[in-house]
Amino acid sequence: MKNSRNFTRATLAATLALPFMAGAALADYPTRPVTAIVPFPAGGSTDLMGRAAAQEFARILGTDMPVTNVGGGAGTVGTAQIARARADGYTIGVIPAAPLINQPHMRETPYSIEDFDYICKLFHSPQALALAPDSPFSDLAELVDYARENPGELTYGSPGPGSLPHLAMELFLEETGVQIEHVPFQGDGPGVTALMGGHIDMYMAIFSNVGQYELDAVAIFTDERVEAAPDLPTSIEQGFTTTASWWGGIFAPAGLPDEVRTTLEDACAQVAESAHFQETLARFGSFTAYLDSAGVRAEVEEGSRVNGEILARVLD
Amino acid sequence: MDGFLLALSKLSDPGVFLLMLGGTAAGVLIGAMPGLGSVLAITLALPLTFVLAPEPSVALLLGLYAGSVYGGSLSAILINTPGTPQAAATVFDGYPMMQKGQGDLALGWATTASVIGGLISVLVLIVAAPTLARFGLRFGPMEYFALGLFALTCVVSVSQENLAKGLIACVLGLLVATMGQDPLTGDVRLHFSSFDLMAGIALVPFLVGLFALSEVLWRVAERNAGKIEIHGRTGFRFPPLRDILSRWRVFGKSAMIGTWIGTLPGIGATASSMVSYAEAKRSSPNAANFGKGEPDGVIAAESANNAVTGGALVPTLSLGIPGDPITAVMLGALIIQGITPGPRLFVDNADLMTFIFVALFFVNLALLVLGPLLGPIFARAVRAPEPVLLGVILVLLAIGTFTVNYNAFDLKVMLVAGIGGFLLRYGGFPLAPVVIGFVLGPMIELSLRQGMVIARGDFLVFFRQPIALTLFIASAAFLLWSGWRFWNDWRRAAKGKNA
Repeated sequence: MKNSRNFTRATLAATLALPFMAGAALADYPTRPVTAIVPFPAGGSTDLMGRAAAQEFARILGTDMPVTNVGGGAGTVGTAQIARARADGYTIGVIPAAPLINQPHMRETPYSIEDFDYICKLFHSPQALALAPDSPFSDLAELVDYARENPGELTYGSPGPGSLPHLAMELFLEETGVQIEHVPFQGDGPGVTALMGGHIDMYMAIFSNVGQYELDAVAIFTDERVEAAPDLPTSIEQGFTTTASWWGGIFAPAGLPDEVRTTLEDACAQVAESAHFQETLARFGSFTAYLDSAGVRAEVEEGSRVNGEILARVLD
Repeated sequence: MDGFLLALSKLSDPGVFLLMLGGTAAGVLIGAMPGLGSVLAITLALPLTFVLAPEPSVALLLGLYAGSVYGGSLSAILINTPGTPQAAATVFDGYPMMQKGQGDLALGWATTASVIGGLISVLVLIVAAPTLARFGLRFGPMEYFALGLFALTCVVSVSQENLAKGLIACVLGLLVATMGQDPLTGDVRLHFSSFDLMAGIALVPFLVGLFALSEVLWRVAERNAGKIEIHGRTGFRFPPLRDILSRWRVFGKSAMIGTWIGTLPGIGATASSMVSYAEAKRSSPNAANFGKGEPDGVIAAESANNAVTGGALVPTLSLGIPGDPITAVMLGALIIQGITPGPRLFVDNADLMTFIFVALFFVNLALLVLGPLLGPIFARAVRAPEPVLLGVILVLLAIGTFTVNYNAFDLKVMLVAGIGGFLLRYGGFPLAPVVIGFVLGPMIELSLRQGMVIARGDFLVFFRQPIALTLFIASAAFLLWSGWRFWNDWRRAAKGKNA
């Protein structure tokens, strides 16, 4: 009993001392492990990006970087935890764009895009439209023409309402003015299976899934063809204007000390350069996509504006 | 055949073998801790697989996977708390056996069932993985809806004496499950303006609170009431071979149900053990004893949830689509090793595939040894003085619940679910239907609404799907049969009263 009381006292003392220690430690950040919060469950695309990035950060910063998965609420629970964390650089987030630029338009979130210090954009995977195995369509134009003549007959799947693929497809439908019904799934696993079984006509997938599941894609929504799939035509060359990708980066709670912030920004630039990191990403069909702090902030603001308009229309 | 010999020689490497054994033992222990589950076990080992070669990684991960699924049954039987969500249905009959003083035998049945279920699923995996994967693809939203409905009918059987209370409990579970995000539109429901509630109620804190915390509260209350406590036997006893053989139908059928549902992405072992339990209750000659400590109930649940391990690997390996969150983490681990699961895996990496089969086979055999070793340790631990035991359990519950998602809100969910569970018990409501509603509700809702989009709003389209129609008929037949029996019992009781 006495021991436990001593322990409580020690913990209390340590907790009280923490703010001062943090102040003292500023000069040579980081002095202890940095926690990386991934707002999605272990095993998903974001988690893989997060773990690959954490490994590199740990090497560059010379400290451990344990990954903590805080799932739930389409990424909003973990993202809220990052926004609420102490802005001392010892908690950072590896966040894909959706919880930042989509979810706040769908309901009240306890954070907004103002609540973060943007370190960098780090990774992306283009989106591609995959077709059911027995699909009669051979290119995007055929599909759009058919949908125009038969409004509401075709269905498309996405990994969930308010996910980046959902928004990308709605953007494309807005551009072409055709109507294809949305069938959301809980993640890519069930969605891709439904596509393979022919229960839906098409599925908006991130490129990494197209390769992994050997899906029949009809277009990739990029400006240029990607090296990993040289035969897959882009939406642009098929005469459309929509491009879309699944992307994310490193974000921290707003108000980091300048020194910490600079250290993290420099480290992130190095991670993006790392050949090992690029190889790991390539295995998952993803690519490094570096943007500095100002660049990623601008992209988040733009994405939030565009998707906010689409969501206001779609969810009505 | 060469492949099998090669795989055997790889597995007999002392390092690989020890990793497999150690992984299985660690899996059993983690699974037995309420709240700590398979996903945690595998994510903890994930960094290790970065530095290991493919074979030892696979052996370790499979050990943790099968071990943790089995481990959940230990606490389900001994302390009325599913150690992992997969073991939720094991509680229904496992704990009543413990109360009857047959805890040792219940552990034996659970172990036998887990091993047999696991082994059958491996055999199915070896013989029929590609075929099963193709059949699984025929399950779309409409078929999932029919399957969910069929599983929901088992509420009738687990409600025991009072059907009305069972149905109320089930509706309660369904209602709690609707909290949070609408799966189709992303709107939020029943959130009372709380951001935390907008994310919905997570499975683990809800289950842990409902079963485990309420059990702790119940025991405390009973102590004060001066009630006599039921002492189960400590130890471990395998059921006689004769008994095992006489129940071969339940073993076989549950294993097949588990394997098959495991192959369907997104359903998982919790729901599969409930479907299996429902089916066993429907067809077992001992149906009347279900919920009162019937070995068939333990067998149905444990055989099915361990069979899911093999089943879930079917789409993971042959399509590259993980069947549940656990195989999703394993899939990631394989990709990190430079192995791409998918249709080509059987061709490109045939040796590794064979190794996976062989390793999973031996992991299941290892359970046969580890169960009798670790089970009694747990059984002895629960014989500790009650105040100490309850205190330790309480701490474990809190830690386990928190580590799932590092979210303090989950602790509040556990607390509220615990108090709710206690009140339900006090009012004589069965807890099982609450869980069944909670687990199946989201699946039924999502698949129904997805199906309605695909069917363009015409529900009759559902009846034109052969698989769905079969399941609808099975559900209806089961309900009619239950109703007829119910009515019969009632009439007999009425006659008895008059006479």
